[in-house]
Amino acid sequence: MKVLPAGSSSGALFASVPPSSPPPAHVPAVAPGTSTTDTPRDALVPAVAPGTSTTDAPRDALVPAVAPGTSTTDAPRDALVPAVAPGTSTTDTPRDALTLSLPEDASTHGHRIDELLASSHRFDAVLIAVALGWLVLAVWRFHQAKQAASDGGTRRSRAWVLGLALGAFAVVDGSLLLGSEGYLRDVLWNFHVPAEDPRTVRIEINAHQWSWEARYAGADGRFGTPDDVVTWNDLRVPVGAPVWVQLVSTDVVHGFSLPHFRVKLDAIPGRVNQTWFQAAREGAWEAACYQHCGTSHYRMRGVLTAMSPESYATWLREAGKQATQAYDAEDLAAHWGWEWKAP
Amino acid sequence: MSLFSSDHKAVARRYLWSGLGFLLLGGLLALLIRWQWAYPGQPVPGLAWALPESRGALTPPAYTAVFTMHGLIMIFFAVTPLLFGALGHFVLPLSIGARGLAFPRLSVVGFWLYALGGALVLGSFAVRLGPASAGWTSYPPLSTPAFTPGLGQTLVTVAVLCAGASAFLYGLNFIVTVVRCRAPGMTWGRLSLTVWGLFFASVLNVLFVPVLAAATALLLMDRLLGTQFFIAGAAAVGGGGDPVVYQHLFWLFGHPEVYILILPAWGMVGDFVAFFSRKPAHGYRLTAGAMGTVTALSGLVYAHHLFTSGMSPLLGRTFMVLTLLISLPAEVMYLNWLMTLWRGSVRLTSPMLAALSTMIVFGLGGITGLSLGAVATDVPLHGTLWVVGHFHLTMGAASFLAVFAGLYFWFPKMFGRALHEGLAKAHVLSSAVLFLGVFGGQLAAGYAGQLRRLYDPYQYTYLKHLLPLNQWTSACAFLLGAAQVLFIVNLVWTLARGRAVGANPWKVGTLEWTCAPSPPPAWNYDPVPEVLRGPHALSQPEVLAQLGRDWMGQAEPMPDAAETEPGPVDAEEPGRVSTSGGAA
Amino acid sequence: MRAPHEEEASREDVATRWLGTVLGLAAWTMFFVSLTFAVGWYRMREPWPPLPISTWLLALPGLPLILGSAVLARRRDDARRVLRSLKVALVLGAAFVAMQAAWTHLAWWNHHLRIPDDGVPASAFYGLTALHGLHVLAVLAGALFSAVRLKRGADVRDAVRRQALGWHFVSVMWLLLFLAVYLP
Repeated sequence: MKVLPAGSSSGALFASVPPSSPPPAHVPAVAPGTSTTDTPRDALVPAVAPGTSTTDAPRDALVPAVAPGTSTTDAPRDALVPAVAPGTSTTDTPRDALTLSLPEDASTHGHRIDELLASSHRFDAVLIAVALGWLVLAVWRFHQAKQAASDGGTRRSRAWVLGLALGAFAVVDGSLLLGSEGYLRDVLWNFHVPAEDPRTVRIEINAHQWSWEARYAGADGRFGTPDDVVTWNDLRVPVGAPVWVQLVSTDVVHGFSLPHFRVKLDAIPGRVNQTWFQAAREGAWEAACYQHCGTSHYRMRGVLTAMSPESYATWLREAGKQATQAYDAEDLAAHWGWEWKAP
Repeated sequence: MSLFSSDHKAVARRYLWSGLGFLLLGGLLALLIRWQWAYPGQPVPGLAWALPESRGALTPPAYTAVFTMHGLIMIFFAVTPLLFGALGHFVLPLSIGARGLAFPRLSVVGFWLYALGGALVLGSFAVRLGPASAGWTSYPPLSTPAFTPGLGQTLVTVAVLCAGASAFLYGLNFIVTVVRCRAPGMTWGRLSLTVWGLFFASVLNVLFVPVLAAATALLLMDRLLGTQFFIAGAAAVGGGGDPVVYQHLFWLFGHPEVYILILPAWGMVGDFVAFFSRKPAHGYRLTAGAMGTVTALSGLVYAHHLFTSGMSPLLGRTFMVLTLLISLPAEVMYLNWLMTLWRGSVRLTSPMLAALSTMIVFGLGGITGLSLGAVATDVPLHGTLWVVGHFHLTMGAASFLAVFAGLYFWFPKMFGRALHEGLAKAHVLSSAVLFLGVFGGQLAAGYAGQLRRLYDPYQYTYLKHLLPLNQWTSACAFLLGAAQVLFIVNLVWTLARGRAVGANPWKVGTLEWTCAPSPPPAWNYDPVPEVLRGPHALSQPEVLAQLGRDWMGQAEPMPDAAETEPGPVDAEEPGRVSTSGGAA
Repeated sequence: MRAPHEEEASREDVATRWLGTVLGLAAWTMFFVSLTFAVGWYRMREPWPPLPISTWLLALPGLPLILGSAVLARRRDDARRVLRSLKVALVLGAAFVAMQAAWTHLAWWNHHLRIPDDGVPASAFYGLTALHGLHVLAVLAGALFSAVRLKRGADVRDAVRRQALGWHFVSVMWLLLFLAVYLP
C-alpha cells in the first residue's frame, strides 16, 4: 500500500497555506517546466548598479552556502552593512538590568503591538490597583470588626458585582480584542501586503536542530534553482520592503522568532507556515528559537541583518553568482527549496 | 493502618505524604533551573555526586531533563495529588455528610496507580540517558525515539498515563459521591464552595483526562511500535503523520488541566474568606455559577496555546474571543470574594492569610494572562518567561498557597492536632511574598524577551542585560525554598507534640467541624447528620441572640425550632433565601 | 463498634455503581472521540488509501459484538440463564477477537501492510484496532469473572448488568472505529 506524499499542510480548517505541492523536507521540489515565477524581483537589481562597480564584486572570500556559523558572503565594500557573522554582537542599544521593556522595535508595524500591549497593561494596572486596594482596605477596615453583616449580599450588591465585572470585561477585554483584531486584519494575517508589493523579499527558512537555513530565490526569482542563495543562521533583508517568510522544519518543532520585529512562528515538520514583517532601519538583530527542540535549543541563534536596498541587491546578486558556480546537482540534501506557495 | 485501607481519610494521608514528597522533589528541580539562570554552567553546590563529569554543573542534557521533570512532577505528581488526592479525598465525603467515597476500593486502586507512576518517575532518573527531556508537553517529534532515545522518556510517558488513570478514577469517584452520597438535607445549594470546586474540577478530569490518555497512547505507540501518528519531516516513513494533531489533543486536555488545578483552590478561597470574615459568602450561587461557567468554557479555549502554530485565521479569532470570554466569570467570582470581605469581621488566621495570598497571586496571574489571550499581544510574549510567570502565578503559586490554606485549615481535623499558628502564618506570608518575587521577576524577564527553557539565555545579546534580574529572581527562589523549612518544622513538631484540638477550632458550621470529632472515626458520622442550612451560616442575628455565638452548625437545629416551626426543619423562609446566599 | 459501611452495601450500592459505570463509560468515550479526531484529521489531509482487507470482512466482527449486546441486554433473573447468556457472550466476544486478529494477521503477512512503512493508515489500522481490542478484552475479562463467580454461587445479576453496559460501549466504539478507520 502506498501513501500519497503528504500534502504539506493539513485539513482545510487548520491550514495556513493551501495544500498544493509536496513537502519541502528532503524532497527536491524543483519543478521544471512550471513557470509560476513571482512578481519580478529583477526590478530591484538594476537599481543597484550605479554606485557599485561590477568588477570588484566577485571575491575569493565567498563561501559556498554550507558551512554553519559562517556568513555566506562578505558584503560589498562600499555598502553600509555591518559585516555581521553569527556569533558577533548585534546593534542592540545596551541596556541595564532594570530596563524592563520589550526588546527594542526595529520593524515598521511592531509599534502597533507595543502600543496595544502598553494600553492593555495600563488597564491591567488599574484592575490590579482596584482589586488589591479593595482587598487591603477591606482587611484593614474590617479586621476583627465587632459586627459582621449577616447576609450573602442583596439583590443590588449582586447586580453591582455583575455590572462591575461586565464593565471591566467590556473595557479591558474589549479594547484588547479590537486592537488585536485590527493588527491581525492589517498586518499579521494580511498577506495582500507582501503579495502585492513588487519589492517584497521572499525567504524560505528550513529549521534544523540547531540552526536556521535560509533560502533566497536568486536572480531568477524562483526557488529550487541553481542560483538560490542559501545561508546558515544569517538572514539578510532590505530595509523598507516587506519580507515574506515561509517556514518549515525537517526534524522537530522549532519556533522562529525575531524579537525585535515582533515575529513568532512555529516551524513544524510536514507543513509550511508563513508570516511577514518589514524592517524599519538598518542594523543587525537576533533570531531565536522559542520552542524547546532538544539539548542545544539555546544555541539555535541566528542574526538578521537589515541592509539598505542597494547593498541587499548587490549582496544577493553576488551570492547568487557564487551559488550558481558552486551548485552541485548531486547534493540532494541541499535541494530542499520548494516552489513558493501562493497565499 | 494498612497501606491498602480504603478509608478515604487514610487514602488522603497517603496522597498527602507522597504529594508533599514530590512537591519537595519538584521544588528542588526548580531551584536547579533557577541556579542555571543565575550562574549559567557553574557547578551547583552539593550536586557533584549526581553529575560527576561536570563536577555538579548542569549540562545541557541534564538541564532539559531537569525542567521537563520539574513540570511533569509538579503537575501530575505534586499539585494535583495534593489538591484532589489529599484535600479532596479527605474533605469531600466529610463535607457532604457521607460516610465515605462512593467507591472506596476504586480510590485505593487510584492511589496505587498514582504510586506506580511515581515509582516510574523516580526510576527514570536512574536509567541510562536519564529521565524525560522533551518538555512537560512532550511535543512530538522531539519526544519520539528518533530525537529522544532512551528508556527514561518512555517510563515517564507511562507514568503520566498512570497518573491520568488515577485522576480519572478519583474524578469519577468524586462526581458519583457528590451525586449519590450527600447527607439528607444536603441540597446542591448547601454544598460548600470547596465541594463545588472539587466537583467541577472532577467533571473536567473525567472529560479531558481520556483525551490526554488518547494522545499519550498514540505517542507511546509511536515510541514503541513504530507507528507514524505524530512523526513528520525527515524521520517520517510512509508519508508521515502530523505533530499538530498531538498539539491539539494535548492542549484540549492541557488547558482544562490548569482549571483542574485552580478550581478546588477557588472553592477553598470562597469558603475561607466567608468563614474568616464571619459572614456568608457574597453571591454564593453567582460564585458557584461562575465556577460552572468557567468549567463549561474551559474546553473551548485551549487553542490559544497554538496561536503561533499557523492556525487558520478563523480558528485563531474564535479562540481569541472564547479565551477572553472566560475572564468574565472569573471576574464575577473574584468580585464576590472581595464583597465577602466587605462588612465582615476579618480574622487573619493562617488559612485566611493563605486564602488572601491565593487571591492576590491568582489575581496577578489572571490579569497577566489577558495579553496572552489576544493573538496580537501574544506574539511578543509567546514562549517567553512572561508565559511562565503567568501560569506559575495561577496554577503554581495560587494552587500551592491554596493547598496550604486547605492543609492549615483541615490539619486539625486530619490529625487532631493544631499546627503552630505563628509558624504557619510566617510560612504563608514569606511564601506569598517570595512567590511574587520569583514570578514577578519571571514576568519582567519575559517582557524583556527572555525565552523559556534556554540553558544559557545570555547566548543572546539582547538578553545579556537580564543576568542581574535573573540573579535577583533566583535569590527569591532560594529563599522561597528555604521558607518551606518553616512548614516542615511545624509539621514534624506538631505531629510529635502538637496541641490537641477540639472538634471545631475554627468555629465554623460545616459538617466535618460540627458533627464529627477530630479526627473523625472510620465511618465519619454516626448517625448521618440531617442538614438544615448552608455552609456559611455565620453572624446570623437569631443565632447570636439565642446561642451567643456567631456560627451555627449545618445540621444543628435551632433550640426553639420545635416550638416555632411546626413542620420539618428544612422549610426556608422565602424572604431570606433571596438575600442570604450561603447562609440558607 | 459497628462499622456502618458494611451494613449499607446493599440496595444503595447497586444504583451508585450503576451510575458510576454509566458516567465512567460516557466520559471514557472522549478517549475514542480523540482517536477519531486524530484519524479524521489525517483523512481530511489526504486521500485515505483502501485497506487491503475488504470492507465487508472488516464489518463482519461487528456481528458478534452486536449479538453479544443483544444477548446481554436481556435481563434475566434465573442464575442458569444468566450463566448461559454469559457463556454465549464470551463465545461471541472470542469470535470478535479472533476475527480482528485474523484480519490484522492477513493484512500484515499476506498483504504486507506494515508499520512503519505504510505510514499513518497502517498505524491507524493496527494501532486503533489494538486499543479497541484491549477494551473488548477488558469487558470479556469482566464477563468471565462474573461467570466464574456465578458458578461458585454468587449473585452476579447487577454485575452482569454493568458488564452489559460495557459491552454496549465497546460495540458503539467499534462502530466509531469502523467509520473512522475501516471505511474507505
